[in-house]
Amino acid sequence: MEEKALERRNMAGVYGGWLKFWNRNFERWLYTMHRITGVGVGIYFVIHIWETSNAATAFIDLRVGGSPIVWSSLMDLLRNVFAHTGLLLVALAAVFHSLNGVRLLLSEQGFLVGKAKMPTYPLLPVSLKGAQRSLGVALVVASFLLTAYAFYQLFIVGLGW
Amino acid sequence: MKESQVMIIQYLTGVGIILLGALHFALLTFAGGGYDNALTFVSVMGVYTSLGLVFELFLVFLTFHVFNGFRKVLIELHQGPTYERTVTWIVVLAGAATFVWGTRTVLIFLGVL
Repeated sequence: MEEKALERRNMAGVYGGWLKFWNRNFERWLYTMHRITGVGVGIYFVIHIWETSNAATAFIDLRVGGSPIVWSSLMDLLRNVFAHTGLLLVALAAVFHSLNGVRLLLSEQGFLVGKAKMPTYPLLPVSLKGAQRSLGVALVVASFLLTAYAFYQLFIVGLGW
Repeated sequence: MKESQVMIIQYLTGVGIILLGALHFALLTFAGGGYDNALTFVSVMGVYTSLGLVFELFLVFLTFHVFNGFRKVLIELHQGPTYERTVTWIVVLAGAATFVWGTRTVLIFLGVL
């Protein structure tokens, strides 16, 4: 019986647990974005390992007297606005996930969450007023600023806009 | 291994990824002569042959962090002993395959393979 209740509580799912954050607090929104960006960058990582293994194939070709055409042609294929938009999203996701990860690490260790106090009405958690929230806002801003630099590199330097 | 111990490794690999990821992004941009230059074969070969072992360490951190992350997400969405064991084995095998394929790239550039 107890196990069933626990199962129900933990099984809000992708919609109820992740996406339905509009009636929740800012930290819940950060949580959802941490999950989405983590899964996104994780999938990109696996593709990226395959992608970069083509450089090794090109290196083998070069060693036996051929040319690194495998790599050059793949890079030429990926030098377009769609692939670079994808990379821009990966950059944003990676930077956000990293900075929010630092916030999670610090707050889980007890930093930036304020001192515990006697609960008084309306029983708002002290941690939500701690410095971790300001850090959360700052990291979202910082993520977009760093992504602006990624935009400069990907589109202005990379595609010659 | 206790879940809390796995979580400590998740945090430590996360910190490692931030440091090496910053280096990776720097080499792709301002430290690599701009994004248009960083991905030419000569640049890529230069980075892999000089920093091959650093990339291998980056791969170790990333493989653990990414696949343990997938495991955490899947176990958060659904629970049960058989389900959790299956998820763990699937991510271990998929992670091992990814790690081997990434290591192959590094070893070829270092002249081992």
